[in-house]
Amino acid sequence: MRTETAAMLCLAGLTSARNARAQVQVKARDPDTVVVTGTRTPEQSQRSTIKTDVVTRDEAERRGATNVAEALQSQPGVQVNPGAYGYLGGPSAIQIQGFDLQRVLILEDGEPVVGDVGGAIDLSSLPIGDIRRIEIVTGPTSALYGSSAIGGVVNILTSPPIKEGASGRARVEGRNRFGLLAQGNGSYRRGDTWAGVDVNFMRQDGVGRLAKLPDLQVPDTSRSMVGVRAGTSLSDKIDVRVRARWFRDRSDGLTSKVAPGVGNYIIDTPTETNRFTLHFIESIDLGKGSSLRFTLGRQWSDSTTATTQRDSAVGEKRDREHRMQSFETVGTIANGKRTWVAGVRAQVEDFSQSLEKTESTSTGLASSQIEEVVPRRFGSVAPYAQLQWKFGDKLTVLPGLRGEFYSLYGAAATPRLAAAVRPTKKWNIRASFGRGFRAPSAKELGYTFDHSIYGYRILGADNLRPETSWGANADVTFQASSKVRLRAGTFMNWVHDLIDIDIANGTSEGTVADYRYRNFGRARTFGAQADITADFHKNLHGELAYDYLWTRDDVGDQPLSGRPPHTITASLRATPIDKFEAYARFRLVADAYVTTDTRTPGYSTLDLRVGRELWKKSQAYGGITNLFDVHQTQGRVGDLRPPLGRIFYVGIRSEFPWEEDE
Amino acid sequence: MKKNARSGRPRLAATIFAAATFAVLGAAACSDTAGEGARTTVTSTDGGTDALTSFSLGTEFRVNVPDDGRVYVKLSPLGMATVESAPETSSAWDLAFEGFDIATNGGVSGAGKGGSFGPVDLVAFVADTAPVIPFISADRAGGAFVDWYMYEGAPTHALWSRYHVFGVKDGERIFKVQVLTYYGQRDGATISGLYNIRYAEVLPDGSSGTTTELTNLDGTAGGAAAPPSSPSECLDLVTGARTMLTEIEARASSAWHLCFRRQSISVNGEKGGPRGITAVDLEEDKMTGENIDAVKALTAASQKSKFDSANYASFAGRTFRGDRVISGLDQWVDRTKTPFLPVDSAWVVVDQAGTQKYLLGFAPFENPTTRSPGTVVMYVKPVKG
Repeated sequence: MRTETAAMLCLAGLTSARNARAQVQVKARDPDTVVVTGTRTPEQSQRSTIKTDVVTRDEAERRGATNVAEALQSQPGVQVNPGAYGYLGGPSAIQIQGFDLQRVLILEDGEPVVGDVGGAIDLSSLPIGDIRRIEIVTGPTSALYGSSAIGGVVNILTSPPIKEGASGRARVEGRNRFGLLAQGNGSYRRGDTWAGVDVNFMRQDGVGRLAKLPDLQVPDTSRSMVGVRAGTSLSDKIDVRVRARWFRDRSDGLTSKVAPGVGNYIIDTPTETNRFTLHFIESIDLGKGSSLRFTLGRQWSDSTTATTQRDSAVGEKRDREHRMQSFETVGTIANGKRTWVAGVRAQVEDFSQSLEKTESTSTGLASSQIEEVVPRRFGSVAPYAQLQWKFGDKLTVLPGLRGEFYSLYGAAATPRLAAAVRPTKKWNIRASFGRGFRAPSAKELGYTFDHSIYGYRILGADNLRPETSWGANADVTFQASSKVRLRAGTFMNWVHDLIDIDIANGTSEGTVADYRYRNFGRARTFGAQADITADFHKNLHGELAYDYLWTRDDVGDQPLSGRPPHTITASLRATPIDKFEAYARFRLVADAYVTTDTRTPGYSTLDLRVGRELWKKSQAYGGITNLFDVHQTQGRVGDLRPPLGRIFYVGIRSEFPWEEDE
Repeated sequence: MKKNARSGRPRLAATIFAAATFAVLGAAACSDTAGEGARTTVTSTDGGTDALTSFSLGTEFRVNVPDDGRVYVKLSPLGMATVESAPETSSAWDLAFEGFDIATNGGVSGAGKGGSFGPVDLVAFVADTAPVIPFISADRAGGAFVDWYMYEGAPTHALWSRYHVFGVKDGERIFKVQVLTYYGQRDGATISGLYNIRYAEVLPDGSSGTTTELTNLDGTAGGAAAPPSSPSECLDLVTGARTMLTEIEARASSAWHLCFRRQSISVNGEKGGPRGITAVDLEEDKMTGENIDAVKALTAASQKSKFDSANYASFAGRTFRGDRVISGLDQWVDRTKTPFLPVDSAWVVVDQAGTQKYLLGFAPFENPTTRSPGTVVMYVKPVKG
């Protein structure tokens, strides 16, 4: 198990496997109880200085998930809003502490994910096939991770192979609507040298909108991923790893329109995204629990969305390109009760967006192309440092500071001070206060959406400042017994200079009104959580969580749109008979403010799953997600209910070697 | 004892779990109503008190509108403007009052960058910023055909022909015209702006000439991305000639009766062009009773008999006009009242420089006649945005 824990630290990008083994002081029963995202140092999740929630791959599979969005959609403390920012079934964006879009940072093994859609990283495009677990840190975390970490951070962590020799894992699942999921991993380890291949494929038919029309409310989707990973040791103290992944998402939407006097015609709305990531990591063991790590990364994201009339060239196609090149070095210096983390990250991003229109004119087809976002390059350098100072076993103090120097608008500083007090083994009291910020995006800086023919344009603005926030978090954990744990927490955030399109202050140039992105928003969010986990019996485990959220748009003097104030989540996992497993998960989401005239309805979902072990480390399973078949209503603005409705699935998963080496 | 202790822990866990369940379920019964119910809205149920209360936030200004001729108003500084000649090229004015029409200094009315939009709710007068509106319209020429279609909003966004029968008068000759559709197929695609119409001459003896049905009259004007100088198709009802003309060319040309440009159909008379053509909507009085569902049920075939039955006598006593100025203030007068009254709403107006927005509102006319509102009591408020 210590090997597994070390591997977890290694995969988290904190240190080399060798060094991780040396520095592990955590007596973890399960490597998945070790968290790294909140402090960039390994800690047991229950005793971590920063509250960090974990969803393991096993738990994600129990929830019937095929991707990160589905894995988190019933996670306490977060909301995943499928399609809230695009057409239905489109981007699944996460909301933490009332913040979403670019105000929640999404990481893969500690590296930011590029390629947002309307500001949202589409979590449904991230498969869970090759991940080990997902860590969720709530509250401002910019002191460690920089831009976008206002509401929190989601870190999706993969893992290197643990076992010597060949090992692998496979999952095949069928779903209604011709859904198919196939996931596979194969790897080989010999000593400190290993290599692995990951593949993932998922497809599902769309959901029709109306019985008499071919329109799709949710498009047909297919998602593929191929990844290769390898690592070796160059010497006793130096490990190197390389990781490459290719994601391809394709959705085929379809809508019909009526042309009075002509009839209906069909418009195809395909979307395709290709994302490549390449990372090279070198870790140097400095001894005595200290280490140095270098990461060199490059990501490419190309997406195309089109709207074309079937069997015709008439339509439009929008292309977006996003590139990120990054270099980061971070050192961890363990000095008795003090652990220093200091690093510097430099990155360059390139972004462009173009629109090509093909129209029918009296002289034939005519195409025009405009740059909706003029190609832009951003550069930034960010040094950061953090001290984790333990005063005995009962108090840990964690000050940290990160500075960001951007090529376009100057500097930002984001401090954080956190503390954890453990007066007895049963109690853990944590508090943190920190600053979050978000850099203006390329779109907000350079967008041109020209609808002059309809009398308006939406324009970017070069003089935008970063959004900034202050946030306070506190929580108390009480381990009532080895079987019962209670936890309660609260948070408050104040956000300034929110960037949005300033509709109220458009400027006119004749009959064309220009609306620009501006820093004019202010908002506050407040929330509280309480949860309890209990082992009723050795074969029965339960969880119950309640989340309260209050938000205020201080400019409009209204709640923020689409933030449900009350959420209850409950789950029960049972293994009543040998080799059988049963799982139930319930979630109740209250109705929420959308506009002064509109609320999104409250709803509840119930997921059920049963599984039976076929042979060692293999299981046949089946389940239902969203048993009550709650789903969005076509045309309803701001509807936060699930788009897909009820889903049935059956599948088999297996790992080899089948016999676990103890 | 050991056995009891072991069995006691699950019970404790279950008890706490159940208590917590009830607690959170109870809390969930609340909802976030903070901030709602405290909002106040100025409504305009009747034009009197609420309107004047809102208008008090603007500056009152009185305009004496004669029965004949125009008067001009400058919005900053607020006052009457003197326009000696060529108002079309003058920047000395922002608004022009002529009878019950108001023009802005832009589009077909002037060389400025003015425009307007309305009506908007009276509550707009409370704010210092302009209300959120979809667009500002420059003045355009329009007349009998201005309401040839009914617009179906989201998600359809379609223009449905009302299948009204229009009369188009060229000297003593009258043609009846019916718009069949705004959509057609070209380059393998269904596109908007391609008109199908039917027309025929009606003769004094009560008979009609041959009915002609034309398809794909090109009103696309190059599509949404095309520059304003893109041509569209114009039709001569006498010769059947179809000519592609830009908006400026059409205004100077006598080679057409009707010009099709996106959703607008122009008549070559008055503001529309030099030929002196006039037109009338034979079913204008039915407009208020029409609704989108009823209009969608109509077809070219079902409305053919209505077209066929229209004859010379059908147009007797009707007022034919060329194109006049259509601005965002087109609906500022409630013509169902006697005497006419200004509508209880606000309007957004952009000055001739195209840089400053104003809110306008109107109190009841003083000394109106059948040809003019008399003294217009206007409230003006500059707003940001």
